[in-house]
Amino acid sequence: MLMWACGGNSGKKEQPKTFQDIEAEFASTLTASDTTQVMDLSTQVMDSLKSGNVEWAVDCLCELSGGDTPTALGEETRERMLKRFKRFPVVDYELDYYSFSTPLFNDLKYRTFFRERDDSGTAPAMSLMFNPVKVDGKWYLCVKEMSQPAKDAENAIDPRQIVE
Amino acid sequence: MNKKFINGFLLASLVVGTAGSLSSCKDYDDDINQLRTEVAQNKSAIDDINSKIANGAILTGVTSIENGIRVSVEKDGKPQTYDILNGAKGEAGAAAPVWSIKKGTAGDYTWFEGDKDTGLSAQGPQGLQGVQGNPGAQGAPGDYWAPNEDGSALVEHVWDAELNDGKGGYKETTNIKEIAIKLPDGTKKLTAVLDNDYLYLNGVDGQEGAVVISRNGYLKGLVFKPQVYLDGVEAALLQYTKGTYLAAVKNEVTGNVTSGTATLAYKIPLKINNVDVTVFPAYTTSTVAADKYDYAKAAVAEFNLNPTNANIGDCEFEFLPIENVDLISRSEAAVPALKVVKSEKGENGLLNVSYTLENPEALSHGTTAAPELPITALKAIRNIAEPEEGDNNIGLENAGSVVSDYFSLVNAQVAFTNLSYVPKTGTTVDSHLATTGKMAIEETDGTNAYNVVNVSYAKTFNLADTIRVCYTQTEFGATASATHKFLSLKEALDDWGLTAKYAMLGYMVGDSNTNESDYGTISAEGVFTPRFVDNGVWKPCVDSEGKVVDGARSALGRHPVVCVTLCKGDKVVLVGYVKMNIVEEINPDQPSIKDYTLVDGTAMPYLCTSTAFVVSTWKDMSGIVLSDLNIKAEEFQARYGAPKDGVFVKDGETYKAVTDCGTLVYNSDKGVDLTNGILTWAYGVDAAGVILEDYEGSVTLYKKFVNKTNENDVVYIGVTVNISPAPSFKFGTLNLAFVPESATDEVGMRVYQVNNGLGKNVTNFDYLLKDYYQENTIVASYDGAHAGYPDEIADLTVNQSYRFADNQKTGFSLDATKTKLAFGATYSDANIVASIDATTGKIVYGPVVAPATEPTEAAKTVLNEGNANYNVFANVQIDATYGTCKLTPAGVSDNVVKVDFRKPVLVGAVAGEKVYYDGVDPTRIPLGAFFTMSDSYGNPLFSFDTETEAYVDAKEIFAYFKIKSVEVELPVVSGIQFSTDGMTKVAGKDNTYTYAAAEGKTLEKVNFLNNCKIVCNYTSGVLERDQLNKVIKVTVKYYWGSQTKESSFDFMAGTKPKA
Repeated sequence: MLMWACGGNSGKKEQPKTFQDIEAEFASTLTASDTTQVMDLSTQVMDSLKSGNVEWAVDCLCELSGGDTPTALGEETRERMLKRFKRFPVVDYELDYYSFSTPLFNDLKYRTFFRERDDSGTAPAMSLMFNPVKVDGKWYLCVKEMSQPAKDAENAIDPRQIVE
Repeated sequence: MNKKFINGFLLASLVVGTAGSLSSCKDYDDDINQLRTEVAQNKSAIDDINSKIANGAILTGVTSIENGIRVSVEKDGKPQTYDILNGAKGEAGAAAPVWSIKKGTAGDYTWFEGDKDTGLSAQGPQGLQGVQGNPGAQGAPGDYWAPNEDGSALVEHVWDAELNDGKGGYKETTNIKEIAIKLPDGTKKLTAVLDNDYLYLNGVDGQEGAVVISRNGYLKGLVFKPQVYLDGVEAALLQYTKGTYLAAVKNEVTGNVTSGTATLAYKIPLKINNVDVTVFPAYTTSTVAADKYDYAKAAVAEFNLNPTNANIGDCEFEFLPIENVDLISRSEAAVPALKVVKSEKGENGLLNVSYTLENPEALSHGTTAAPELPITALKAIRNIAEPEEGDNNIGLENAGSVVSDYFSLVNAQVAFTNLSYVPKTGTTVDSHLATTGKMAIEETDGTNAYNVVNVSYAKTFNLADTIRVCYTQTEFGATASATHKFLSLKEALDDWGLTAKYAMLGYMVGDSNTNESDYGTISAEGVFTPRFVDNGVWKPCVDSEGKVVDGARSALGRHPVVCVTLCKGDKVVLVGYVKMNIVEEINPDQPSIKDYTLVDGTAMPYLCTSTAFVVSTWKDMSGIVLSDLNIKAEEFQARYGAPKDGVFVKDGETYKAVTDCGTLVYNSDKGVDLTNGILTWAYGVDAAGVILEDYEGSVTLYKKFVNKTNENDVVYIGVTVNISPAPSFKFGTLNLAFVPESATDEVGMRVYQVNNGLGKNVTNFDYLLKDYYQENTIVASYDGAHAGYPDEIADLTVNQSYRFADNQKTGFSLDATKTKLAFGATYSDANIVASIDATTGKIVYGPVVAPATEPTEAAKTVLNEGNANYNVFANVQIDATYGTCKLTPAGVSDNVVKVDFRKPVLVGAVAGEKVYYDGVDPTRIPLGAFFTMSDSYGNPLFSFDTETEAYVDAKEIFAYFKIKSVEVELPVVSGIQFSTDGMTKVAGKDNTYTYAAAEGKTLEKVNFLNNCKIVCNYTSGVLERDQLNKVIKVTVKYYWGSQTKESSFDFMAGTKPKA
């Protein structure tokens, strides 16, 4: 994120950038096509989970290796994900929110319902937060992990934070 | 945007209205102020309404009033109203429309706009169940209208039997009834919509969107705020610890401790004064099975409330049983469980649930081959009374529960490892407490040293403030980390339920029966109070007013030991021991800087090499420093330790580091022999030079010692280094034979005489400076005092060099090396006059600089100028250094000699000779009659022999001086025509004649002086008067240039008188 943020300038010393500035810069590079790509990816995965094609859906997911390279899920994570969806299947889902910040940190959050809704429309639910990443012009659907900030979590990055 | 819940209140922002025209600045300001007042009032009213509802009040109704709406809330039968006013957006004085649900004339519940029945069916007070709206198909529930998300419109809801797998349900249609009134500028007028559950306000000044207020604060949803995400699942972070409590080792301990210069035995007994001790010198891991522990740190989870003004006062919160627990193989069947400790609204409006995790060890994941994430959810159980009948019924739901979404628990395992000292500000040193009494007393475990804490006898000391807890943490999915993290004692208590306990560890030293630890007490809060014994009674060193008690000084130098235990209940988790050192008062707030000079070193001569040194001993240290500080050497070392790097000098009232005054070596070896050097400065020529140059030969160099526990307590200890001034030299003595009588430091230099026997000729114009000195030697001697330096100056190895002095005759200049002298303001080889060899001191006049083959014209010219027998001189200087490294002496005197360069040949004029005519022939006068020549020694180059009546070279020296020509410029005398015999007329000059040697040759003989004649041809213009003092210029050219003299003759009017 930081290297991307610095790559755009000419090497001259500028005013310090805030995270909000970085986000605005990234946002300016995005088009409706990016949103479409990301939503298409996630919808495929969610629909696959909902239809019971869990292995295929999990195999579509990535994790960030070395902090900046999307790779297939590690064996332990993959096993956990498979067990999770087996124990708590995706009976239904709804989009909660999405937010683009930087090429490596983005939020795409779904609520997954693992039982049918009752008459009042409620059902036990669990989140499924993706961290879409854009590398070399291509979008990958990574799973949000502990080291990655999320806008609705306590580890969200303060927009006013100065980014060196 | 998060769509899971509706914000009950949006943050107000000051919005300046722009509608309408403004007639004046004053009016504009008034409008602004009015608007601000209304915005603030509206915000305050909304805040109060939400607060009341959150505390159990019910929003009972909304009515239109002049200039706005009035909201009624009621709690415990006590009503209260709040007015929300129109701002500049609305029409002044206009009531805001209110939409609410009432029973219509048909008896059904419909939407009323104010008092006007709109006929739009609404949900009755029972809410979703049993809707009393427009009847639908037989057996099907009726349609109804309900507000949209922000209450700006009513949306039609119709029953669809196909929904929910045929169970049927309501769906929204596209039929909308706009309620919010939009103004031309896009903003909205104040409107209110009141349904069974919410009050929707649009167009509230200062609010960017709608204000939605839950009518009853009925909790409808809980939204977990994750700390992190794991595998895409919202997660809460937990820490837990596991280990085994410690058990006291109840053994007597003995050992040795150094006190001063003595080594004494000590004992930590099991009985003191026949009473069993309760504080023990060591702990070990308990072997009791029940002493194993694992428990979690108190944690807090946050939840957003739906609505935000939800009244949680009637709710009970609990966590659902943890699912997906990956149980490890355990002999106990303990199940991990979350227990709510406290639930309350935080200042941020979120629900803060404090909880603990029981049996955290059982909640392990990341350790098996394919672990699963443990998950749970928070459940809120609502306890609400049965609803009452009435038009103002609101849709109270039956008592029930609300469950948040499921979230995961992420465990990290903590291991408490040590107690350590809180590092001083600006440092990160992690210094552990000794883990046994023995280590604390001996201040070492054989490998590591343990701090002794200095405490002033004049005040109490808060030991608790200086201690923290070290731990390691193994994160989820990671390998165990050995990196220490730290907790304050307060965090250990607040978060982990641990407490620190303090007690004095009794021990005796040497033959004393006194318990060393009786010299202090420690409170339960960890405050240490020094004590002393007064007639068998132990007393605090300071009284209740903080004054030092008489006799308290006897506590100085005592070393009580405190045992600190970190406990869970009465079980020991960690232990540490602290040895105190009762010392003089230390005021951490007031800088204490002292300096001491241990020794004033003997002056050392400034030499290239020397084995001299300045050393101070422990005896000096003791007598000067320790006595003043009133502490022993061991205490000094314990208090200050080793000095800081570097050497310091005092600069006014401050001390500055210096790097060019040499090294001051500190030797901490206390040793038995107190004469061991503690500070040593060894001589170094560079440092000595700096001391001489910058410090006038004397400087006190310090090492800086800083109190380990109080960086304001600084002691500078130093030695004075004295360097003797460099010696001064003088040179003498010139051989007086070469010194003119009227001079002292002046000599003359000539070309070699004719028969010098040295093979020299007139071109050799040089001399060795030393040869002007007695015994042909320039001898240096001390000039003035030279104490410390070798008696024999020869042992000093004085190095001499030669050059021209800076001060020379006006109009002369030196080259950069000052070994060449030239004529002119700026030196140039083309005008070189003299040179000197820096090593040999050989002075050369008129050195020939290639490619020239003769001295420069400048050298020749200045040599022959002037009337004196010399016109040019050089001040020659002797420079001196001493030693192989060529040190500069303090001064050099008698080292400048003026060397006069004598003219090799002196041409003299003749005056007063008379020339007569004889009336027959022209008068012919030999050339030799018109001038004289002699060498610098006064020998004539030619003279008139009266016997032969001719000019002769009597000394046979004429040819030596390489005479090239003699030229005469004859006068103009009326009546006389001049010419010459044997001379050549000089072209271009009417009256000038010359006699010259052939090119490249010189005149060898003087015969030409006889043969060449000046012919005075008296013409018909016979002189009637004598023509006196007629000048005949004679110019002689020789190797060293030329000289011109003006001889004068008298041309007589008559013949020569007969003798």
